[in-house]
Amino acid sequence: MSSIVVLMGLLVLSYIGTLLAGKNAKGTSSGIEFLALGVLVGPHAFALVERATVQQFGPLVQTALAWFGLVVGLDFGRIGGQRVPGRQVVIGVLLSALAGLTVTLAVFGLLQVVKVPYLGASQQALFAGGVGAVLAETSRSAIGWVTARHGAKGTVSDLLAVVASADDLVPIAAVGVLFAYAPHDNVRILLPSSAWVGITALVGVVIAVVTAILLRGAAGYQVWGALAGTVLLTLGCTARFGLSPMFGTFVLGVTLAGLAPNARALRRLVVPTERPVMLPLLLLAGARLDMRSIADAKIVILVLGFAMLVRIVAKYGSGLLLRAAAPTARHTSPHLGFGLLSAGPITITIGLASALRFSGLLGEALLTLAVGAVVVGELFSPLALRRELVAVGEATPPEPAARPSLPPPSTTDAEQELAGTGEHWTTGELPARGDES
Amino acid sequence: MSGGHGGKKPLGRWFAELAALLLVLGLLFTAKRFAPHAAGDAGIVGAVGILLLAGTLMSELLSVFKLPHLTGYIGAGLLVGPYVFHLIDEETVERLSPVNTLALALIAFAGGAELKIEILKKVVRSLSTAMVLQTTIVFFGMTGVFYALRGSIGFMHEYAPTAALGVALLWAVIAVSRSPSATLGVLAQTRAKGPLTSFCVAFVMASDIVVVVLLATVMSIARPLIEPGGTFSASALRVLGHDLLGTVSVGTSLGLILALYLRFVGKQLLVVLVALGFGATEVIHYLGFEPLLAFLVAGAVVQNLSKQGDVFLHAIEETSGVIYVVFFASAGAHLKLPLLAELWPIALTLAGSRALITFVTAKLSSRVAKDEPVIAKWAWASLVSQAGLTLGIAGVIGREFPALGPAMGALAIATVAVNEIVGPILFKLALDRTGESQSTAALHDDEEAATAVAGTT
Repeated sequence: MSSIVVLMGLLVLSYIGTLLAGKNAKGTSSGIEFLALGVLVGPHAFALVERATVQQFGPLVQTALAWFGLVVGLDFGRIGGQRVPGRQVVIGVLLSALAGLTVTLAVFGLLQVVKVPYLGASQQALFAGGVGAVLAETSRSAIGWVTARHGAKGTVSDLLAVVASADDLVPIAAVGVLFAYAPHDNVRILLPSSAWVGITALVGVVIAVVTAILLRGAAGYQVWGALAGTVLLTLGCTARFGLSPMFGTFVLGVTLAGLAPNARALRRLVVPTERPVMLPLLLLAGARLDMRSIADAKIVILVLGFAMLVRIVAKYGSGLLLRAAAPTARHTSPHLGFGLLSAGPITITIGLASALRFSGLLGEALLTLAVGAVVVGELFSPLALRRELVAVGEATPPEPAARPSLPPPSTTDAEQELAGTGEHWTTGELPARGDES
Repeated sequence: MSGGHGGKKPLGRWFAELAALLLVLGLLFTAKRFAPHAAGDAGIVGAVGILLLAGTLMSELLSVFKLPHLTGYIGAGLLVGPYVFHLIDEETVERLSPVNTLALALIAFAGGAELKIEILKKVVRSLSTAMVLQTTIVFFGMTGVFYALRGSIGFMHEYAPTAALGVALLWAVIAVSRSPSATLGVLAQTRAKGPLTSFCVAFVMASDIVVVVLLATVMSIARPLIEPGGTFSASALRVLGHDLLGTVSVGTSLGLILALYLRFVGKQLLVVLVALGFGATEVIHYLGFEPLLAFLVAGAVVQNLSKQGDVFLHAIEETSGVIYVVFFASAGAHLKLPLLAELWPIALTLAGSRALITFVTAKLSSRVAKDEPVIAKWAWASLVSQAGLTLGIAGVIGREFPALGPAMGALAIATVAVNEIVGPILFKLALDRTGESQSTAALHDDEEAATAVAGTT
């Protein structure tokens, strides 16, 4: 398939993304269907998109990742444009950091025991850190999906939304540290990793200042021009050293939210672009998935499986800690942590960024792990979360078993009937899986 | 930013923008110094970023001197390009061609959409007179100038007088071409309206079509003069006729589809325009037709056969603003300064002669057509610019006459460089002087725009 056809496909996805913007309950909670579509059209399944074509879209993928970093940074610490309580943000960040760190240490420990032939000594820490970064997130889009679909409202729903939103910081910052740990060979200056992390952040801050100047009095396309230019320049500067563009643009976004003359309007303008950017990115991530090198080193599959198990344990622990730390969560069950297992756009972007940055086994393993985490999260998290929200009375309980006294209705009748139950489902918003029971 | 119209700017703001420009240049300069070879795609992505930012900032800085934004974009491209600061290398500049594809598509759409029949009717007499006279006099005039100067043009020494006449004819086609992109670029900034604007848009867009026909005709005539074994063949003209008809049909169909989309859906025009810019260009190329002409026709169809013309124009303006910056800044980065340094005397002579002939012809044409004073006085100023279309024509000539290609291409680039820099300045000056430019009104707009980004939501 030619690159132009692929580009048209991506634009169609982007178009769909614009139509879906703000409609949290559409599709699956993680957008896994677009990932699956990517795998299907990619080299591993129907090979409609060849590997070389996927590679051609490298600049586009990099740009989308950097843009995503900006969007997350601009909206960091806010839900629906409103600033959220700092304490809850801190809880979210700490829980995510704890989960990531637990996984990192566990995997690093395992790598000391089990030797993976293709990973050198220096790469082991990088690999363990990468695994931790990929698995740290609880997807805010999944939480949003569950609450929107089940009409959940209340303090627990709000808390979970904040926690899931705040924890975006951890994987993005972690990837910033990881990339700084291994700058490119062509760099002519030797600096410690911490200095490279600082430089990544500094680039974001400096460019945010320039953006704020550009945005003063800007309107229409000038705003987009200023934002696009600054994101691209951040990307160009950081990627040149092998640093993380996503972390750079995240810092850019956070700084800009504080500096820009009209940050609120800016957020209203930029945040809705997340979905149109995300859907093509998910497709490309799926198409880029390459498990050949992992297949050659089967031990890696075991390590990844182990990491996934540790994540489940760590997230379960996070749930317990959340119950202890936040008074509003005390009425939830001890299994709240299963509801935090969801992984979504951040996980995939971290995996994809790692695959682009670290060629070979390391990068491919991290992308594969990200996809695996999304699948596992999709299977368990929405159900567990809904159960918790129903238990605390914030979500509507699932419909009782089909009423036998009624004749089997047609699809349209069924939808009308559901609408008649007082639940705010429209024709396009059918109940979630499990509700049909 | 000033909102795009220039005008008075507080000194503090000007210095802040200067500091911002120095900051971005300094940042990339440092990055390039410590990591000279961009890994992966960092080079091209960073290049687009710096062209966009430096172009925007430079245009703002120059706007206090009432220079068009285009000049700022081109100047920024020159500055960061391979021959001054070398922040972008030649290979990266070449890799920016997809941006040009999109920009040219948008320019053609906008050009077509600017052709409103009711306005064309008003200027039809001026337009037809100017088209005939400008094309004929500039064509024959520049043939004569080029032929007369052949002794001073290095690569012409090896040609016998007859062959030299053939080359001069080809050069004259290059000279007849104008720049739709520069015209629309200046109009996008000034948002000018009035008889001069209508005349210029109509003339420049219509001259596109004339040049395409002229090129095919002249190449058929010049071939037997330049190549000893070459013969005159009318088949090229027949093929051209077929292509033109096909292109117009495709453009009409595309225009009707677009009009229907705008009427019944009307959403996400940015994505639709980008898809058309890349996808439709590829399909039309595949069919063997001329994409730019097809888009021009499509734009005209939307404008004149539907009620969606203004919506369409507005969508293009919103989309093309960013694209124009990169397009013109990359054109600036493309300018081969060493070549200009080498060929400047002859390039300047050719560009000057063309401008002079254009000026005199415009005066003559206005007298014949009894144009209103504003057109009589300033119409010539919009006809000096040359840019991508001209280089495209030089490229076609280079492909058709390989022996001539590189040397003639170099001279064309040098001459276009002069016209690309001077032309937009003259055109903006004309719009400002005639009061058609909305710069004055823009001062008030700027106050409102300072409430800023909110206006975009």
